[in-house]
Amino acid sequence: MTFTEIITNGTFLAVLGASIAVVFAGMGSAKGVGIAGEAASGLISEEPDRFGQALILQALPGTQGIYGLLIAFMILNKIGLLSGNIAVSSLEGAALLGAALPIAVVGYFSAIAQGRVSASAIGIIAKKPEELAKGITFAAMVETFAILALLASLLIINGLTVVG
Amino acid sequence: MAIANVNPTRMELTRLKKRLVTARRGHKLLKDKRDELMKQFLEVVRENKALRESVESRLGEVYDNFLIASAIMSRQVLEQSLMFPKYRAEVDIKTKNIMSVNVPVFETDENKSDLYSYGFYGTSQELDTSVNRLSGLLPDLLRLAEKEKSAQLLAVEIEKTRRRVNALEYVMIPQFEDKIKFIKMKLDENERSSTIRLMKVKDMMIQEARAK
Amino acid sequence: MAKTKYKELDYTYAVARLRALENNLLEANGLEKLLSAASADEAAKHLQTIGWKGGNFEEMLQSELEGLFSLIESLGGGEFLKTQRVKYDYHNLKVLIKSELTKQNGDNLIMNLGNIGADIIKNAVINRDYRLLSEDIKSAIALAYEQYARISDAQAVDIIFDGALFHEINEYVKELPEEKIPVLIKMQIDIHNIKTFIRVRKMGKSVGFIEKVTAAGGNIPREFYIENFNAPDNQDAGVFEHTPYRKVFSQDENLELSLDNMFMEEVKATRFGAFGIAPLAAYFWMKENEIRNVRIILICKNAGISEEAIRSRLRG
Repeated sequence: MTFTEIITNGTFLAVLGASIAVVFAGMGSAKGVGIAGEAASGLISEEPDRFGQALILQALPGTQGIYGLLIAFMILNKIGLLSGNIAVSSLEGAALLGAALPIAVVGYFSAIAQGRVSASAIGIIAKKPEELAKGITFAAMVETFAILALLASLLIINGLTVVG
Repeated sequence: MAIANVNPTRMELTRLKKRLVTARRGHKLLKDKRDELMKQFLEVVRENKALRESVESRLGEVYDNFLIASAIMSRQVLEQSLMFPKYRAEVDIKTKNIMSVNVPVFETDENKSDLYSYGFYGTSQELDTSVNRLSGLLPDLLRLAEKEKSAQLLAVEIEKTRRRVNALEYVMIPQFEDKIKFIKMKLDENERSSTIRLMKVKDMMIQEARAK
Repeated sequence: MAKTKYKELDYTYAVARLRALENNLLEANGLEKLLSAASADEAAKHLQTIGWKGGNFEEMLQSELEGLFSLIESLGGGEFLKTQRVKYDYHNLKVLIKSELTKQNGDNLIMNLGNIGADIIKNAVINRDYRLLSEDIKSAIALAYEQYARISDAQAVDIIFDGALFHEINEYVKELPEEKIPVLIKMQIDIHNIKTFIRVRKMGKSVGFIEKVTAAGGNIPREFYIENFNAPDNQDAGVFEHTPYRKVFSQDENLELSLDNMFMEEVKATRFGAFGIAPLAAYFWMKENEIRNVRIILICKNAGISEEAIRSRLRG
């Protein structure tokens, strides 16, 4: 198999799509959760009883990683990798790679952005623990765009028919 | 009593009479001195009181300023700022004679050029104000010390004079008078007894002549 | 100096922790509680219940200040702290030089919060061995001794050190990796200059003097103060008409207080934001201000000054 054959192979392209969905969304989430986690530890070192609230805010940027995994599953399911009979043409593989891009790219950036908002929201609960809901709302606004990307990825995958 | 050991002689009488006259004159002079001292003293005290009140109230204000300065600046910075004063004042002490009492007079020689011994970083305007006011207070503080000491010295002198006046008035003069009276009485008595004696002698001489 | 690149995300932990600590700062309510205490001792007791340590007032304030420095240092605010430690270096220098010149012992006035350890600076001044000191300090000491030999004036010595102090602050500010803190430090320099301008005019000094005592590095250039030095008295407000500091002159309050308040407002505006080093600086200044307010309350209360009078002196 030559290099050209590999990169035009449908299965390879589809698996690549699944991978970048997981890798980028996951990386973004890891960073976002990390940022929020640092802020949370800062808060907990002074106010240990706000652990629960801080944990909610820290978990918020984690959703992008889950979305990435979801899309990866759907792609792998579509090409039949999970059931064992893989049948996918180059074009179909390329389309599935394209379908993975929204959640990969948007997931990466939105998770980091959400991590920063969460960290700031931890600043809110440091001062006013009763305002947790508002902090969550701010972080959730960022989530919207991750969901939109997830939706786009889903629609594309659903719309494609893989015949092989 | 002192009268007991008085020599009832005419010479003593003249001497005592002379002393009585001197004592009376001295008494009058001392009384005048006392009155004049009182007058001076009251004047000094009045000035002193006014001065003290004004100095005390101004000192209170300075203290408040200083307190605020010490509250705004930290103790270390405040003490550092005032560690090395450059304002110098020299005081010359001279004396003035009031009714033969030597009272002190302070003459200050200040270099008024500059009061502030510190830079501007970390120091407060409140410190400037208190340093400035405090230095403005210095001449009055010295004047107050001067007046206070004068009043004290005058009071001592008045006390001394009064004791002398009283001694003259209630002890010396009455004593002299008593003694003079006693001598006079004694002399009169002597005179009378010698008269009687003479009469007696005369009688005896007459009887003797008749008997012859 | 090999410096790691400034990343504002490195301070996320620190900022969140400070945000929690901000709750403990004594702002209006807390200070009011201290004010209404029956006596200074009662107020001190109240401070002990909220975690201030130390036997007497001085110790309490000192230990809070030292605690603040080590907290900000441990949270990674060292670069910023350098700009704030400079004043203690120069304070120690002034103490030591004045002790040398007047043969007093000023050891109890030394504050070990500077960039240079108090022992190092002390040995350097006593043994006249300045190898471990910075160039700024070295030349300032030389100049101070020279100036003192000519005109024995402690103020001249202080002024030389203040000049070097601001020079050093400006050097440290250049190394600061972000923009908000330099803005605030510039404002501090302006405030110093304005206070000095007003004070020097009251003292009746000459234009030459104001040139020596104003600091470079503020938003308002030094020339401004020199040009306006001879403005008529009672025209301070007019002089600053076209500067951002106009508003403090329209207030009826003590000018130093208004300027300090203006600075604190600016600091409080900077404290929001969950990243970067600026919230560290904001916390530092807020805590420093809190310590100053507590000192004002304790000292004035101890002297029996009325609550009302004390309240009007509090900053921020």
